[in-house]
Amino acid sequence: MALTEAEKLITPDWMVHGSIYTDPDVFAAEQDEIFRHTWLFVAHESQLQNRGDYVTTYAGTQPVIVTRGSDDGAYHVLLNRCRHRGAAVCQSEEGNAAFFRCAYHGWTYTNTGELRGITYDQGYEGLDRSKLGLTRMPRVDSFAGFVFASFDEDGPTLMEHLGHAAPYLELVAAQGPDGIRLSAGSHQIAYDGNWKLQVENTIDNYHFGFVHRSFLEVLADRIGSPPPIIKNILTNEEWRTLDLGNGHSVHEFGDPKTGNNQGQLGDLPFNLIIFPNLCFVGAQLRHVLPKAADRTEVRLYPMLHEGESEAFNASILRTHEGFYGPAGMGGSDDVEVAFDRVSDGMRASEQDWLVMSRGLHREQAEPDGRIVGRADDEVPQRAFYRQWIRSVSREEIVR
Amino acid sequence: MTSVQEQVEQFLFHEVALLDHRDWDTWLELYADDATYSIPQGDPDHARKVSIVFDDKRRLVERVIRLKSGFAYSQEPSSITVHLVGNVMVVKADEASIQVASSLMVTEVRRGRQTVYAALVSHTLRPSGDSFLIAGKEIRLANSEVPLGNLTFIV
Repeated sequence: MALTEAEKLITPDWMVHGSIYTDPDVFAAEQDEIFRHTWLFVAHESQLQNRGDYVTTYAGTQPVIVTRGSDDGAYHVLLNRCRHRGAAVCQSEEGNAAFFRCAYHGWTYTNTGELRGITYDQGYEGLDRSKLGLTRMPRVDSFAGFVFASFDEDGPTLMEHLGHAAPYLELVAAQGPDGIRLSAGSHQIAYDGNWKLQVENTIDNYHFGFVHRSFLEVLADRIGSPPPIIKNILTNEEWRTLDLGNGHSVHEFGDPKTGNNQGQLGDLPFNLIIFPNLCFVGAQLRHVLPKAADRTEVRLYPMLHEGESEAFNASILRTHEGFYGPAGMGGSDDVEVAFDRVSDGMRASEQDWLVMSRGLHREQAEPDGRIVGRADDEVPQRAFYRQWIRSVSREEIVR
Repeated sequence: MTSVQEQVEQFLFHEVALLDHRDWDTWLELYADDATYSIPQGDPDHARKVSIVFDDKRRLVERVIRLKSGFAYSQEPSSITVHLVGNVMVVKADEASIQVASSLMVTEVRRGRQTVYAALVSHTLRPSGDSFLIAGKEIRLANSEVPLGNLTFIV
């Protein structure tokens, strides 16, 4: 996207243009300029414990297979597309396989992506098999058990990308006595709206007392008194939002090791957004999958605690199910209000601007570049869009 | 005298009629205090796998508190539903409980869109007076493992 166009989408006083959520051209630019260059979460190492294990997921809109090589034990991220005539070679969400064999004409690939077999290969002359392996994402790296990949051979390392967000990922990884695992499956939700609506809603304490009022009534009945979460959001100075740089942000419920959201949403002491589409909230890893400007799927993976009892982990699942997922008593109201009603409302486009300046006057810049705001400020949204506009314009626009 | 088959069918029809009329308080009374109500994803393994719903009676009560609060936006306005129960089979019956299998089709209309859900349902019924209490209900949705929208009406 041309710099001049990108610059018009977010004003210096933080009005954000609605086309960011609705324009298919903006969506295409995001795929080209963000998802094809930055680091993307693809798997957690607990899903790939043995050589040959694989999961299928998406890198941006592109279907990929994340494997652990049979020979090298390393992580590989392969595009799920036969190089012959384009059929997806892997149909399962997870499994263990040394080879992927395309059902169309029988071309066979190793789980590290090499083209191993072409059926009846006398039909080809001079075909270079070494160039016809499953397309690999050129960079794959992991941190604290989280596996990321990039379509870009160059650019910042994973650690440079994570920056100030890295210590929070380490804290997520240390939630259980022996770590965490993603072995419980996932909730999958879908909505007819833009993917960024879900990311932005992950840290938005301002909405909680409004959108989740029915859940707060449930909570009040559960604990026999008004739930303390709203008072904390509005008055607790230890609850704070931080722009961590590079598009990442966090909301701390007090101490990031021991804090608690006091909303019976899961025990993670903070909500975390890793730019562009990985989030942590409650007890879940949330992977946001853009499908089109007006279509999104989200996978919510409860994180079980390694080293805890089955009963303890079952209680994590029950807490998660209470609020999240398609029948959850909280997440469903986010889908309704923050995604569906927002998408409906933005069809009224005469004044096509959103206000994202909450707390701008009271946020504080730290010497290390982080920006700190109050719990209910739009610091996380601005953190996201600072990186978003840098990425889509490929220029250093300061907002 | 009506047969067990007829009694069970009438009871299942009664349950879904209460849901179609959104008479949640009367619906709740059908459930035993130790009841479970679940919508698993794939084969049920509630200790290890996340379910769409795995409720005890207390959480069913909470769902009704939420639906009646006036602030459950995902049910404001409420889904209009028509439940169709068929293929009712008494799988196992003894003095203490009756295991019933049935097929369920729910047509839901909300936000200008009609959605159809299909499920294989298993009820565990406990004789109580001249009727039953539900000790367990498991709804195995045909589409439990694909991305879903809003499932906050009571299936």
